[in-house]
Amino acid sequence: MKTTTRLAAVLLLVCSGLVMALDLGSAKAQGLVGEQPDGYLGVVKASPDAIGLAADINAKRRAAYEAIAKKNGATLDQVAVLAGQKAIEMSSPGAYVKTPGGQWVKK
Amino acid sequence: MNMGFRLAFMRRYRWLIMLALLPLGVALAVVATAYVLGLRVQGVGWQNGLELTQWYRLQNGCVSVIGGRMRLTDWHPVTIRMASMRLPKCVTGTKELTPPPWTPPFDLSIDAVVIPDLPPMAVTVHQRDQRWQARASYRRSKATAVYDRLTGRWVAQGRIQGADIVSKLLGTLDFTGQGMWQTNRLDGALTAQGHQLGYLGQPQRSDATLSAKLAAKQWRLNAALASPMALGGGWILEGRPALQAGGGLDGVQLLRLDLHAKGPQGRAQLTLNTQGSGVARGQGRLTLTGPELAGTVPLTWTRQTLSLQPAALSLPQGLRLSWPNPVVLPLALAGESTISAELQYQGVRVKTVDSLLSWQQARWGWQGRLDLTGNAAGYKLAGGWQGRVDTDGLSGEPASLTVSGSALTVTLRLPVAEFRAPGWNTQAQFSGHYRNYPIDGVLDAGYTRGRWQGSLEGRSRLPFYAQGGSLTVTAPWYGNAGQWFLGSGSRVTITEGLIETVLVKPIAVMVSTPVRLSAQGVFGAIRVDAGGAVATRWAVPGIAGQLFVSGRQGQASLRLPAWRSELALTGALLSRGRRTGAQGELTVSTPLFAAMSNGFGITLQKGMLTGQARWQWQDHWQLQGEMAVSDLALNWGGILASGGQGAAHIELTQTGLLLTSTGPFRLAELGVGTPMRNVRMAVQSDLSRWHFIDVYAEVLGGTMSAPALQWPSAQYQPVTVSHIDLAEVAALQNDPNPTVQLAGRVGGQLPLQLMKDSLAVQGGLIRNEGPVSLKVFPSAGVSAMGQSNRAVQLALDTLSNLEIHDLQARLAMQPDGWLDAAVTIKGQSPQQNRLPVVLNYTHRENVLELLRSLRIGDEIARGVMDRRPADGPR
Repeated sequence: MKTTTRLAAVLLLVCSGLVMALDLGSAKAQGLVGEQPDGYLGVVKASPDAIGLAADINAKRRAAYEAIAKKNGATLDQVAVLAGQKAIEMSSPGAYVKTPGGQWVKK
Repeated sequence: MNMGFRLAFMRRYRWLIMLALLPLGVALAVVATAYVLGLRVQGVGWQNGLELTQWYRLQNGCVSVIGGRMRLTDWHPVTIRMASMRLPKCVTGTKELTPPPWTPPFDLSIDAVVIPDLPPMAVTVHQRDQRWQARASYRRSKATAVYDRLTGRWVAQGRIQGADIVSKLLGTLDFTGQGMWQTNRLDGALTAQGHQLGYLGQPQRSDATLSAKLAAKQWRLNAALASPMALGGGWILEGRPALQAGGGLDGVQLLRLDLHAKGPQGRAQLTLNTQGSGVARGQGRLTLTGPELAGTVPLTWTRQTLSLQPAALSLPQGLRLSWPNPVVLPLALAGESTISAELQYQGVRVKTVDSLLSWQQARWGWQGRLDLTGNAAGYKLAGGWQGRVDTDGLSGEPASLTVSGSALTVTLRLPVAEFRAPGWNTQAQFSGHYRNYPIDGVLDAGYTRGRWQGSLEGRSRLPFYAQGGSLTVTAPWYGNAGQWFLGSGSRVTITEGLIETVLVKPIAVMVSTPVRLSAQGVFGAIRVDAGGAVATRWAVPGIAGQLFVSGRQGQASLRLPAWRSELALTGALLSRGRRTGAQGELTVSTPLFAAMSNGFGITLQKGMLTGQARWQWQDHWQLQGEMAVSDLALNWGGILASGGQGAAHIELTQTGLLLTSTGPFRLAELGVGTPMRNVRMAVQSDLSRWHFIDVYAEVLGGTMSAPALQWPSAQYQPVTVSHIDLAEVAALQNDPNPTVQLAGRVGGQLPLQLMKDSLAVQGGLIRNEGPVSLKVFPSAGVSAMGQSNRAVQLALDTLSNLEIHDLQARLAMQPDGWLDAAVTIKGQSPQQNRLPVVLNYTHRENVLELLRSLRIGDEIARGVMDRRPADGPR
């Protein structure tokens, strides 16, 4: 059950990323945005485009997390944190990720 | 033939030709004389008479008089109408007043004669038989004068209304005069009587007398008030002051004056006296005393001069005026004086350099340089201006002022070339920067139709924006004397920009009706239109509304149309000593939407939030009020809450936020794997620590309650459960063919530790509250277990139908959800001849997983199947 839940979460997370793949990949490559432990995209270098992109993707991620949480009896934050761990693990080398201490570092 | 005829005709009628050419000759002579006298004309035309669009007279290269729209309508008597005649400032030297020359009879009427320092007067002049009669009027003031050129006699009389001179001046002044005016001789006597002189808004009224004589080039003036007289601004002239002055055309010989005045700012006394009879010199003193006035100015005067000795005066509003050298003022109708003075206001000094005060009759002027230096409000000020001020206005170089501080530097440049009557036009430019943000703009100003008006165009960038946030101010303005208005269409716009990682959409603040600015504050309506804000986890939609300000108070009505949220705000400025602040009330009403909770770990599904509060700002924010939610539904992912309602007192102080429920907060249902209903509790929180008081909920057919719970807390806090229906526990199997059937009720204590992200139980004890029954129905799994082991088969047979009279479960749960249960069951099996049964077993299960699965029954069954009991049935 747990495995199914987590796989579903990761799948949805990846899917949400694929929808925005080009823009998100470009933004990550430019170091504008990065993955955070809370499961949401954060802005590394603030610009209107970067904030708009992060807001759009985060809204979609949240909807996906909520659906997973409801289906599996978990809280939204639990699912988001789980997805955040996966997203950081899956981040490409050189992309920015946020440490639990709140610092942006290049993976 | 023809030639001969012509010559004969000219010889015979040459007198007639001469007569015909005579007017032309006269006209040419008049024109030549006028030209020599400096007269110039423009726009000559004819329409039922000679017309001149404009004429003027040049004297020593200076325009001494300008006439507009002159029309000659008759020749006998010469009749002239003129729309205007202006006597501009023109220094032509002091000349004795000579009587008017011979003229043919004429009638002259001028709609407006404009003389500097006097209001425009309507004037008519008639002359018959060298007897001149002139009338002048302005509003209700009138004067007539008659002069007989043949005898030299003149008489004059008139009445001047105080309000025609200064609008708030009351009373009238009647005067009469008579005398002789001949070549090199002007004699006469003038007497005037003032009636009920005073000032609007002040009760004092006084009569006054004035008499003046001029004979044999010696003059004498006596003036006196019958009683104290109001001067305006709360000042009155005390006692019965009198002025005596006299002298010759070359200067003053006698001067005697003793004036006492008092007003809100203090008292002023001016004394002047003559040192001795016939010596034509004297001294005096101006003394200022009072709460806002201080200082003494020693005075001396001679036949030609009045000298102000070096002095320093304290004036109202903290002004201080001083001059280090004597100021010598010629006692003459024309003169000039060098003035070196310094005006100080708090930390700002304005000093005159190369300054010269000059005057000629009623016309005065100052020229020189003003240097400004000092500090104000923590900023350094430096500026200067060089030019001339007179009754027409200012002329000279642009004035400049630079304001500089640690972060701000702005230079204001004010051209004065057009800063003169009647338009007083100027275009001030300001430029500078605040930190690295540029500030620049233009202020246009001019005077027309009795008021100042212009426009302000300014640009800057707001310092707290990392990107964007360009500020543009466009404001037409107008006003006068403390009543200034920002016109409709005035607007402040801020472009989209970033504040840290928040994208703030464009903001516009517009004046929808003219906004009045005065000493009492701002009055008018302002429209606000903000595009909202976007952050990575949340967004606020556009905000629109109106702001009504009335002096020191105002109210705002704001709406977020996308959320159907409404916010009403009132506020008033507070002043306590030097401290200023504001206070008011706040009302909010909004439905609750999922979009509002994007930044939180919960999702608002529906509900309504209302609130009223009083707020105050003075050094820091304070807010106290009440808020209420109704029909609230939200979820934490798989945990659903619905039917929420409650009210709370909210208090925001310097130390933080405090939320205290008023009455219980209720939830109709809270789904945590199994539904909890009729949940109610009182709540107190500072948003970091939550206290729940009188907690009650209905769960699994029973109840749970706690007198108080604190979250987060490391303490184990008692929770009582009672009347838990085991049938409802068994029903959680959610299986149409359940393996286990339970009946009866249990209850007990569950000491809970509520940490920030976890829940733990220690020393929990659940007991039966009456008979309990347990049935395990046959199933494939159960049969397989029984067939594998005889002892297990025996145990399952016993448990297949068990009547329990004693059930005890000791429970402990770790923060990670692992539950350790030590269960003792005592009962008997009806199917085994009421065989007594004692069952002790321990059970270990992750309860969080169980709750999440919503299949707690299956998990219990699997636990029974998968684990060997620690202690088998006996």
